[in-house]
Amino acid sequence: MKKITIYIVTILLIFSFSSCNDYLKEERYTDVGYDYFKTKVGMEAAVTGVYQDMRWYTGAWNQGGNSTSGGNMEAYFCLTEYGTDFTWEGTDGGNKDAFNKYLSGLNPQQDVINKFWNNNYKGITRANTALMYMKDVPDMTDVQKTQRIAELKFMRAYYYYDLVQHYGALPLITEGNVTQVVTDFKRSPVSDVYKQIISDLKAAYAVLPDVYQQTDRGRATKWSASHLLAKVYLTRISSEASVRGGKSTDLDSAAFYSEAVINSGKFSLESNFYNVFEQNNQKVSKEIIWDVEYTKDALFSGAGSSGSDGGNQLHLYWVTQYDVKPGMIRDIANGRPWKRMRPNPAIINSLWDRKNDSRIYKTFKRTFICNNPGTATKWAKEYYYINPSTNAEDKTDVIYTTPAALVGKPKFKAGDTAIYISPKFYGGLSDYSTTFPKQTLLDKAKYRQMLIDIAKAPYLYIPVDKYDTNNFPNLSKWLDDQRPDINYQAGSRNFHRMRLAETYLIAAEAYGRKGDFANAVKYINVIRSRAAYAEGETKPAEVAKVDGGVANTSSTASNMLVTEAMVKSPKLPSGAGFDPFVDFMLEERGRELYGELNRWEDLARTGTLVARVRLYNVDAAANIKDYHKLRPIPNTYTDRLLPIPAIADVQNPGYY
Amino acid sequence: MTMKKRLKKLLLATKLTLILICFAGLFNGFGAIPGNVSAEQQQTKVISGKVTDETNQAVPGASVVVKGTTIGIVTDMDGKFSLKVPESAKVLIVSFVGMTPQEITIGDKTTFSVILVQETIGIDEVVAVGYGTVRKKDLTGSVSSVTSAKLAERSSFSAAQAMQGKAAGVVVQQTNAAPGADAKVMIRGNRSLKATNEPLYVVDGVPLVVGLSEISQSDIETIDILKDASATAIYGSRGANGVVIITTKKGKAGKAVVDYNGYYGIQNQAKELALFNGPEWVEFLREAYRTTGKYPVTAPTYAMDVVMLPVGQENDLAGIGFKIQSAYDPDGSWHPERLQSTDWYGEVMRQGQVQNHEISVRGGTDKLKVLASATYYDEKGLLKTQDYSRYSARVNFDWEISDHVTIGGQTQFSHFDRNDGPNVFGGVTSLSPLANVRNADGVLFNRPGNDPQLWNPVLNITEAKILKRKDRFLGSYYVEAKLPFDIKFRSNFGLDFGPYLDQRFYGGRSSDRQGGKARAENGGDTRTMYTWENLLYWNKKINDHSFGATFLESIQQEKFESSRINVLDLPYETQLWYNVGSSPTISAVSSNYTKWQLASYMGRINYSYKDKYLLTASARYDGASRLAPGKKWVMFPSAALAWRINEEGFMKDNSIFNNLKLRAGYGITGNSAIDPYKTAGNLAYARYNFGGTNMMAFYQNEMPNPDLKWEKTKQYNAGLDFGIMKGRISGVIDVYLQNTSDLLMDRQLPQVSGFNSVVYNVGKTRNKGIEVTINSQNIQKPHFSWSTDFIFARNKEEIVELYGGKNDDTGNGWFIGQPLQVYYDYKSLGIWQLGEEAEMAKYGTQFKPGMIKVADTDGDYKITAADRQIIGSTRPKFTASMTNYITYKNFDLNFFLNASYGNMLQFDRGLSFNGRYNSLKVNYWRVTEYDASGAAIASNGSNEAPRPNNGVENPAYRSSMNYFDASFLRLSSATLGYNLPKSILAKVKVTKFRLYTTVQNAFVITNFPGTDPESGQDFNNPMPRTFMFGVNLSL
Repeated sequence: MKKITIYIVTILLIFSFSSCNDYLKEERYTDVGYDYFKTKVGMEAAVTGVYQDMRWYTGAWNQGGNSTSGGNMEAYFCLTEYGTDFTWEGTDGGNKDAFNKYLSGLNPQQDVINKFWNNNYKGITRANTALMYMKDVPDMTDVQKTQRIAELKFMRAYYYYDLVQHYGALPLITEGNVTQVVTDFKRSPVSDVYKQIISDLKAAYAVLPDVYQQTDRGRATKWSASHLLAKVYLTRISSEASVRGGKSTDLDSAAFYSEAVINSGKFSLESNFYNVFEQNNQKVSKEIIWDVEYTKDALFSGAGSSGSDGGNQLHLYWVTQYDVKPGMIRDIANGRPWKRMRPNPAIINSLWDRKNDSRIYKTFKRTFICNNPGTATKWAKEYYYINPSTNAEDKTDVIYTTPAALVGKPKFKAGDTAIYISPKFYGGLSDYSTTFPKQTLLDKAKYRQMLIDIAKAPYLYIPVDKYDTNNFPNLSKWLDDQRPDINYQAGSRNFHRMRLAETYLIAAEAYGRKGDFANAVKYINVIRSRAAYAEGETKPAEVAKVDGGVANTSSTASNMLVTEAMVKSPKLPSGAGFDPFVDFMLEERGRELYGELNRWEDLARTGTLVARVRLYNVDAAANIKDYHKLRPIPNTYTDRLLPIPAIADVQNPGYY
Repeated sequence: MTMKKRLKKLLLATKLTLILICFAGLFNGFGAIPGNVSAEQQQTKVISGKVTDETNQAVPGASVVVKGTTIGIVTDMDGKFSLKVPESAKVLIVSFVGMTPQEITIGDKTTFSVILVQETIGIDEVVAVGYGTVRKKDLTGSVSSVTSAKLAERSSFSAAQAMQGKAAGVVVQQTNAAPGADAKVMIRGNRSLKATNEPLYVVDGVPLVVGLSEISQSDIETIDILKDASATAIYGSRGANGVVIITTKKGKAGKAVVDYNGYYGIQNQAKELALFNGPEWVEFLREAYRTTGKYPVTAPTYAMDVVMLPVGQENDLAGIGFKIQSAYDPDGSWHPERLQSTDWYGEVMRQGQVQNHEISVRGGTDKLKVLASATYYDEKGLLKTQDYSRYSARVNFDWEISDHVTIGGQTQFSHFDRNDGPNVFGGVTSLSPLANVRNADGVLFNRPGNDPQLWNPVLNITEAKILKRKDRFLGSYYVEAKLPFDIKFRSNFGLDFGPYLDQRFYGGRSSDRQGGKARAENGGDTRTMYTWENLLYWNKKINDHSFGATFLESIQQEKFESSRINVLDLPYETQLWYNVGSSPTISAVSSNYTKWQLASYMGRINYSYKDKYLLTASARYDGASRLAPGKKWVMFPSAALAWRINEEGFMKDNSIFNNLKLRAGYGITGNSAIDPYKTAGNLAYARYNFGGTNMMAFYQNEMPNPDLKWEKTKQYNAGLDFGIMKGRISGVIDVYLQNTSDLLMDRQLPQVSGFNSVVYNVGKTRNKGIEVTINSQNIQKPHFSWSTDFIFARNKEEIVELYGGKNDDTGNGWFIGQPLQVYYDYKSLGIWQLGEEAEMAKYGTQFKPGMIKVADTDGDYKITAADRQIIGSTRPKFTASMTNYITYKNFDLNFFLNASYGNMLQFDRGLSFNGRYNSLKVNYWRVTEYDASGAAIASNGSNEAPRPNNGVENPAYRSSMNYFDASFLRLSSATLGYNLPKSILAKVKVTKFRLYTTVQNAFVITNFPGTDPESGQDFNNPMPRTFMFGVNLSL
């Protein structure tokens, strides 16, 4: 009996595991929960997260969590540069049809449409969440909290402003929520969105500091809020004022807040336009009002496992196809030729005053120096006329005979020019817009002269007539020669979002629109004077050789100044509804801000998108419709709404 | 020793020592229960005899044992035995591996002639049902069994593959053909949207949490597949997808038996997809340029050709431009036949090789039985970048340490190396067929054909390496004790421990780096899982009533830790990933820890009356750490009834049925679909930098959801087991209905809400189906036999409800009444043809002849999202398989046919339409005739692919052309074997020597245009056809 008792007790003991509830407790180390935001360090990280979301704009796969709305890579430039007047598409990249050509791919399922929407709402909801937890943080002072709240409001306004310009009416969310499933969103009118943006920015303007220590550079200041306020007011009244809720005082407000920045004493224009985009200058320049910050530290640039994910990837998109040309090989300084975009060749020929305006040569790179002499082109004995419609050489028509001493020798050696992308335009052909040999010869003499110059050039000579989707002046603003590796994508350039030159242009436009052209011209001329060649500055050789200018080192500032009459004189076809002053401002903004990812918004803001694209963008002209002034609302948003709304309530016209 | 003292000791001890002490107690306490009389005390007599098989061949090594005792012997080389037995001995049991054991009444006889017959699937078989076994004839649930004999018919890489076509309702798909990739198993359709739909694998009693591809086929004794809920509910929260119980081989009493199984095979690509060759590619490009008016519609010229080719070509004398130039005569005539095409496939592919060697020894005494085995598997893949090798060693033992206590264990250690290799197919399918692989000196070009987008894929073979390595220790140990009152106690401890390494190196010339500096990744993880189960069994027969009861208590825990570091700019490439500290740039670091626990109680009752009426009822109570407090515990009940009709009096005289059983069952099972830590919500981190100051960013990642609970499946099953014509034809028919509710989903939310998705219990799915298995012994003659197994299964899977009630979730592609995975897209109507211009014009300027035409469902002459429709589903309407077994004298032949009908598969044909890259060879739309003005007046009328267009990389609605019927009939394997006659074998003391040759994936009949209707969604892993030669040897 005793033994049986032992047996029973033993079995019972074996079966009585220690308390099951203890056993089933979750042991969590890796993750941290929402209470982390109730600590100071957690709250600081939450605020940083709102800024960090901005890095999506420059192309990073790993921005923000889940993969469905994470990756970007080629998104923001498609929204801001494609489908505009001054930029045309290049060769590679998958979004050209949708965004540059406005073809049927631009629809609610389009991925970029979805990602941009999701990214900015991510930023907005991060800001809302941080605002919600702020009151629960015990170890932050009220002063600290006030400042962070203002930063969060600035960022929220920024994200909404970019959204509303592209999508129109939006669900307006200003409360944090991390526990409730909500799916019954409604669009608020555009005017309400602008009101919210202005209210947030004013709140930020009221309390943000003038300036930060270097270690906090990149945070919102009073002046970044002020610059954005000026731009928002200007936008609200630029066109469709009734939809945007524009008020008669908006131009005054735009002038006020832009002048507040200009007169703050905290900023000054770089004396040389080139230095704005000088990489070593980016974290100290006094022209910069607000940047999305990057670093060379691979971990903190979001470089990802292969160095290809994060960082600032803008250096990739405008690079011409130099690396397969004779005498050239890919290197770090010249960059990776992704050639997604190129300047409109007609524009590049005429937009800038090439004799006096230094910006064209400081914006584009035209010369590539031989770094691979083994593949340099050798002089042929004779060069022949090429039939433009068949691309065939006519061996009976020798256009150039190489001096005998040179025949068979390389045209250039290491350190010499290997490629020169010239601003010279011969005008021998009917059309230089397509990628293919020209079909129609307008002027055989001009065309022949071009062929002779090409044959004679001791390098690969590409005049405007020969520009195509692979060959074009190479935007240099975003080039990043500080990358560690020729294929490294995660660049370390700051993404300039607000700089003082734009503030001047906002002020100028506000005054001009008010009819106060004296003040408009005053501010425009500040920018144009800086854009001129400075006294003592050596001009590029082209100025004298191609552009008809003078090869001296004297200042061109006086030639750059405009008068009230000049900014008011029409340039574009009359009857098309173009406002001469707005047109001038759009051109000046193009000259100053070319490639800085704001062109589409400028055109949409001024209501000139459709007209200007029809006039300037050969690929898009036939396709663009009036409804393209707004983007489609992504299906991933509309499909997930419950109760299911009427499509007209959630989608922009033209997209359903 | 006083009770108190002992108890105190017990309480202090750990659980494991407690068990040992306990059993020490049992030794002392119960060692001498009456009724066990030693043989010496009795009178004895000598009996003798001979054991033969059906063909009158002697069976050496058969075991002859007096029933109820340990007295026994093994037959000699001539099949003879002689044994001293007690007078009281009544029955002899004669058994041999692979043959049906026989019981022979001794009576007064002293010489015996025993004929053993080959074991076939019969109703006397014992099957594992989870925490125990039952005789097949006593089964109440739906269970399919695969024995080692069946498994041995064909060689498989893994247990999952071995199951293919062996059990109705079990779909085994080889979705990836890379070396070392295992097949996917799906039992009775899919029911879960988020969680796995793979069954639970239980190996020697240990429920695994990761796959079982390390277990060698020849180590497996049986695979039992529990399909209906009355069977799987005893696995509670993990039973919803069915349970696969794998029992490894055990030692057997008798002299040591050595088995060797080995094969060697070669593999070739079963189907190679054709790409355009050189002349075709050039013509494809010209058509793309003609579409945009950039190529003359007249005869081709070199001067025009050269403009469409990648820039820079003029420098490459051996390059594309040069090749094309040489295809023109001086008079300008074009001679495409002169163009030599590069075989890019051939550059990265090779003949694969596979070899497998398995050796095992088993034997033992009646007290201690041991099996030891070692295996080696090696595969050189069809791709030069991929190979796989695996070795494993196993020791299984069962030791009766006393009359009442048995201990035992199964231990396996395995290791594999898998070389995954970087992708090479991107280049292979895109590079120009006229580009050269290497220069005249044999040096590989970086960018063949000079296209800046395409790096030479051949470089990846030598310049990059992706190596995955895994060690795995899998152990299962038990003690079993017979207790008074017919109670049996068993305690199991299982351990699954595995470190895993994932290391990658990308050299400077790999396509990942494209001439930059090398980078490396070094990461790995460790998974530790243990389970401890304690069981009580009670079995009692009182007259016509049989009772059985099982009680289980178990705990299980899995811990997973990982870490990883990625570096850039390796200072020297020779290190691969072995000195990442030497790199100046760390690009990613991470570590992770997860752990979960499960505690369970389970009770099961079996009752049968006169072996005619059978009842099984069970209940399992599972508690899970990953659910929120207060919601951790859930109950999973089940019940099943069976009626053995042929045992009834009225059936006694029937000459048709030798077996007829009706079954019905009901049960609730769960699916452990919730990942650990899902209920609490979490933040994610990112990094940022202010003015040079590094800062961490945290942001909302997952929404907390404390209400999460398991998915539950309620299942009804009815089945009929029958055997007719004395078992010549037997079969099983099952019908079932499964209703899954509280479906776990990543419910997609508008990002506006702050979250893109949340894990949520919503929605319902349903599976209903029928499964039929027929085994037919067509011919049974002494020298010739032919039998056929036929399996048919049909399952209908549908979504019943989602979070929006009866509303579809278009965003996720989930539709009420449709299977879980459907294709939802525009419906392709082919290509717009010449002459349809008026119809096209109704859509505005969007369409031109040669473009893809899709259905305008709502007829509004606008193609919008509303025009998308359900195109089809990946789920087959039915699957069927047939295996035939034929033996003639010493030859055996079996072949296995496998079919699937009505399933659709997406296959992006890798088409490139802008006239730049190479492409799958398709009959694209093209203009065949122009009028004098250059306008198209005739085309080839193709509806297969659009006209290439130099200006458009991705034609609109391209994906609508990607859906193909993937129904197929495959001869999965055919094997011809030859057994050396026993007369010869006896002389060299060999029990069995069989030679065989097998062809796997011999052919497949399908309309699917990809590499394979099961794995053909991309080009990356071509399905091999394998020819093998193998040996089965027993000593």
